[in-house]
Amino acid sequence: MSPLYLYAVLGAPPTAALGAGMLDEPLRLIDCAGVFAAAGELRAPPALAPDVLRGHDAVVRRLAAATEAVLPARFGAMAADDAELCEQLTRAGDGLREALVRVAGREQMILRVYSTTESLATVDAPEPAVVSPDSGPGARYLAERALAQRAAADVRELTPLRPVFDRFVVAERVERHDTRPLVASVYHLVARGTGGAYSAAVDEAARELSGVRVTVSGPWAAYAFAPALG
Amino acid sequence: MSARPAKREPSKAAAIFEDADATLLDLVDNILTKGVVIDAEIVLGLAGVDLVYVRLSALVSAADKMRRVLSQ
Repeated sequence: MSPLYLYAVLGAPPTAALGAGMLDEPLRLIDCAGVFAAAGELRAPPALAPDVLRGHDAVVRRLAAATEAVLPARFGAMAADDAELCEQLTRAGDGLREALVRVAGREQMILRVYSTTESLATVDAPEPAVVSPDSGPGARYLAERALAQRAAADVRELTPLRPVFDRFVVAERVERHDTRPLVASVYHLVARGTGGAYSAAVDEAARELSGVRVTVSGPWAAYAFAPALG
Repeated sequence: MSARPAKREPSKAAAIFEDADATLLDLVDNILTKGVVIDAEIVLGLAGVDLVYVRLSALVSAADKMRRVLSQ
């Protein structure tokens, strides 16, 4: 049996045919104790190139259109065979199932926050999450959530926009960057079908900001809300 | 003739970010650094990626995280 390239983990079988993967390989759905892996048989990840990234994302989008809960895989996620793939997913246990519930019926939007001033008085990076190496996925998720909430509180540039996007947002993840002009990336989980309204509302409000420029992209599958496994 | 004030040129970094293909940057961010991963051996070679800002974005993303790790 060929090695498997993982595209996504699904909460239920898709309502449409799986179709082909990014290299036209047939896709298979592997039932791993009630969560479903959508994977293609590939010996190795393809060489990294823009078209390959677009191909990976196109497969994920197609899967997302055919089922409610999709956790997209990172580029290059491989397993030797069905058994190894299921072992990895099963080991993730409740963390994976909770993540599937969290993303069901939702899509991801991304805000990029750019400083347009020369001042170096930017916000401080948050303290790293303190997690024991023995912690399970649930503890790691909670630690990451706590870190994200602290970071979110520090994105002062977005304070004027919060009344605009808060009505759409069901979950938020924030990453600070030390690399100006990009100072933060903010990932929002919103209900499917509301990304357009979210984007229009944020775009309009962001034009009134000074000292900061905000770009919006999406909707995306919920890449930023997928858990680390293992 | 009075000299006109020179128009301020954006920094090279700012130009890269502001002119970049935002969709491609988001693809790199989403698919390379996020999502479910079940194997640590991810192919990160960027050979064949002929867009400089893609390469910069990937490095920028990794570099600032790495700086925090190293400072701990």
